[in-house]
Amino acid sequence: MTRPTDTNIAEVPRIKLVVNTNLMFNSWIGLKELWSLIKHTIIDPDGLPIALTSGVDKMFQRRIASGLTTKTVGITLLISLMVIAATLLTSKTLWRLQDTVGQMTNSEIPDLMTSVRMVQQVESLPRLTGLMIASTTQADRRTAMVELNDRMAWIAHMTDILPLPGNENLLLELRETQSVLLSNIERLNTLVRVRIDGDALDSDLEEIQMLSAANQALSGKLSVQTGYFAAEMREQMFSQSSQLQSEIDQHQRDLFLLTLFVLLSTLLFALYFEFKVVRRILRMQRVVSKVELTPDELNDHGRDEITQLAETVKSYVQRIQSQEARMKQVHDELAFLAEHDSLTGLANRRHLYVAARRLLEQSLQPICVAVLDIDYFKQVNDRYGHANGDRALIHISQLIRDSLRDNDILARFGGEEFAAVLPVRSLEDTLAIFDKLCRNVSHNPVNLDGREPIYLTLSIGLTLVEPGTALAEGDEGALDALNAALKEADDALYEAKGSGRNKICLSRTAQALEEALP
Amino acid sequence: MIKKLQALLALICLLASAFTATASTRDDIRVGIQLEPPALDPTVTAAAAAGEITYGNVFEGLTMIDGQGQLIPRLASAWSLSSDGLVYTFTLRRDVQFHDGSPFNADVAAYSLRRIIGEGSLNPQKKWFEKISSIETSDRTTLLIHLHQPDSLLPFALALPAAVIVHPDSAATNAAKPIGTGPFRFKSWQKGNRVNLVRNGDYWGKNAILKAASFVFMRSSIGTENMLSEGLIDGLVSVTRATAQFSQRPDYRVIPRRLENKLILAINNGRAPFDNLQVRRALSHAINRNGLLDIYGDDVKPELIGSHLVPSHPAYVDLTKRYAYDPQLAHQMLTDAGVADGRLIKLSLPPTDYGRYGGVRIASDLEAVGFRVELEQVDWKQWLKKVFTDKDYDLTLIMHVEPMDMNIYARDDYYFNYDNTEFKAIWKRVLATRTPHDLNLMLGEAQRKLADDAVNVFLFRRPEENLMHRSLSGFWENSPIPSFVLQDIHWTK
Repeated sequence: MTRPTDTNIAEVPRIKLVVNTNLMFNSWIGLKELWSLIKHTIIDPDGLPIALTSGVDKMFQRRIASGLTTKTVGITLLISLMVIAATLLTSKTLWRLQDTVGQMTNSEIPDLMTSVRMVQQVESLPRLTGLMIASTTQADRRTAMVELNDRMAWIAHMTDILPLPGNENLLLELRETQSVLLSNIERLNTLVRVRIDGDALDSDLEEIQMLSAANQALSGKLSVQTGYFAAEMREQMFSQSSQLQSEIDQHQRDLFLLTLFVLLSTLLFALYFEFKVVRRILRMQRVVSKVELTPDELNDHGRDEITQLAETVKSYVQRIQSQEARMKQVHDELAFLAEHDSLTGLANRRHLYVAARRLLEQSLQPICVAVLDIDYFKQVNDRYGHANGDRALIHISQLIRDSLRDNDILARFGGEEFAAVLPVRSLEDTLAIFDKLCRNVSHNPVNLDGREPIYLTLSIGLTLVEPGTALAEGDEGALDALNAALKEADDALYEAKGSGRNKICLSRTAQALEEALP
Repeated sequence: MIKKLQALLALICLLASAFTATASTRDDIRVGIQLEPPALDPTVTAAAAAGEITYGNVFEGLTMIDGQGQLIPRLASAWSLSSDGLVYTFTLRRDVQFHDGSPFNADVAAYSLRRIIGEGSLNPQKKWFEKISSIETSDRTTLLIHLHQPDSLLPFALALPAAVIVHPDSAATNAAKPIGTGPFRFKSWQKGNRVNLVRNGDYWGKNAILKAASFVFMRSSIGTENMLSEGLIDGLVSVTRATAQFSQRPDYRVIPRRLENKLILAINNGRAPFDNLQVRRALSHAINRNGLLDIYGDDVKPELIGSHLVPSHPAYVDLTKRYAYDPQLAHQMLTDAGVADGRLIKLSLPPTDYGRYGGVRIASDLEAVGFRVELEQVDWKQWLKKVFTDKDYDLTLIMHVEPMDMNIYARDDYYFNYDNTEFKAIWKRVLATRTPHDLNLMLGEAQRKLADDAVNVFLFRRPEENLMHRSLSGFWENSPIPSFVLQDIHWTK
């Protein structure tokens, strides 16, 4: 048993990838081997354009899990094979055509011509025989005989070169007829020679008549026989050409089907490309262009280059989004610092102004504006040091905060002075809130480490602003009303300080309201 | 990358255009030849057709007469003659082999030449090599030929079809299946029809242009006309009655040749009554030679001859008037010689136009002086057997095509049965002459002797020409050798 090491753990995802793409991997290896075989044995690598070989090499050097590449190579090979098949089929037809045309030109047409020629030559025999019989001088006889022999030799030669498989019997008859004819001619020649010499007997003359008639008949027979060969040859050529025609038709059909198949495959490939590549890329593009983007929407359930691309885009989007979140946090922190007092965490004067103005503009209730000051705080600083003073300040500001509602505005105005702006139902209520606040402060002393508790008190000046006051005085009405209210509250505080501290003083406006109370 | 792709595309276009533009000129030839030889080995048959088919095509000699009529080296690359004129040294080519792969070397050449002069040699031209005393080799490529007497014509004799080089392994079968060293190899012989040759791709010299050649035998005049008119042959290697007719057609043309052919009425000098000089002279008076001049039609004009030499030869002596056409005188001479009227004689005719159409007229002329004539039309093989070999004939009409072949009259057993000691003595003197002038003088003597003895009736020299398709070119027009050298022949369109 070995314990998994860091390396083992690191390798796990890679192994998974190989397992997932096992099938593809096998076919890829096969293709790669095929290419190396082609490159090193079948073709001369130097003979190919470098761009082509190095291009293919680069393709193979890429990652193994190149699904689309494999498919592209596969489809290209398939279409190439079909085109090659179509070409071979066409070539085969053309070769066959060439063969048949060659056979017709080189053997059948000459054979047909030979048989036609034979018919012609045979038909001239009776005329020449007649010429010989009619000759009155030996010279005429010999001339006719030379012509006859010449023709008979030519006819015999043509009979020899005529290829007539399956017609052996007829061929024998043909030769037989020729040989009888030839011996008749020889005999006639002798008889005519005797006749011209004047030595002929009556029987010789009769024999001449008989042989002449017989030769006429033999020539006719020969003519019919050779005519048959001509017809036979013509028939043979005709059947060959119609067979060729039907073969061409068949190949045309095959070729049509194959072409259809190629077209269909191309169409399928286009569709495949549309659905498996284009649409996925478009979907990714749509997801990326969305304003609100969830990285999980980019998940692509496949195992090819587009899946890899989606993964890359997804991780990119995730990185961007986490970056954005961090920036927002920093921004929020900065914004808080700009509007709050860093020591107590309360709002600063700027924030009080912004919030109080809004409250003044919107509130339908009276607004209480109060200014609060810690009594004798300078002595705390002097006696316990500024650090402890700061602690006391934090303690008191927390007590004040706790005594107010969450929506009430409280700000540190500077030093040990605070301001509060809050909607109230009535002056009575207001006084109740602040009385309770004062009690809360005075009953909860500041506890510093190893020292006796420090009891502190507050002096408060407050005023009330009637709802609608801000609106009545135009654009800057709220600010003016706030400034006025703060002034009044500050004046009331001054009064509280002046009259013994640890008390709440009302502004003149507030006092007027108090007096109006029943 | 884009540039490379463009280059690739351009290459593909170029390839495509290369495939669409294909040549369409023919690379075969079918020529008609009148006589079918009994054997295809010119070293064993007198039939000139054997050489006509194989010389320079299948077989080659040490030397050759080229298309300009010049003597050139062939299987020998050079030769020299010793100062005493008695030893020829031939340097042979190294890179030559026979069609069956057997090598050619000095031993093979020596065997081939010894075969010509050896005992029982069938060589029709062995007379040319009588001065050779011995043949030896000094290495693989050096052949020494020793002579009894100087013979300046030996390199010419070695260029004859009968002196082509054969290999000892195939010599016995060359007659039916010739194996040589030439630019064409023998493919097949369809007896009675044609001989087919194909280009020898391993030829030691420049390869032939044509891929295949067929020599088609013309067995009848009407057949020749038929085949020419239908384009079943591309030409004829000798003049026939068809020549004049077809030379008018736009697809044929006539190409002259330099052959020294002689048409003779050959007489069996050994058979009665022709063993009688008076009878033979009567025959010379009986034949109307002028009447024969139109047997090939009006456009072919043969020249009369009076002996066995053509008018273009420098040694020619005009003996055409030696025997005037005079049937009455001839008849008288025959009567005087005891030849009775009505004597039956046979005129053997080879299967050629001159045989068929000349034979009829000669027969009439002979009948006009009292003979009864029977024509005997034989095929070429029969003629060679019966007339040439067995000498079983009275008269025959025959054309001799070999150049300067008067030596045949000095042979012992030639088919004329002449066998004349006086002529043999004259011929010995012909061979012994040392200057061209003397040679011509002696040749004149020989011509006169043949005419005086009326050995044969000397008729005419046929102007030799090839009738060939107009688009064929590359013929060896000026060679005096009766041959049809295919090496340079090609179609121009």
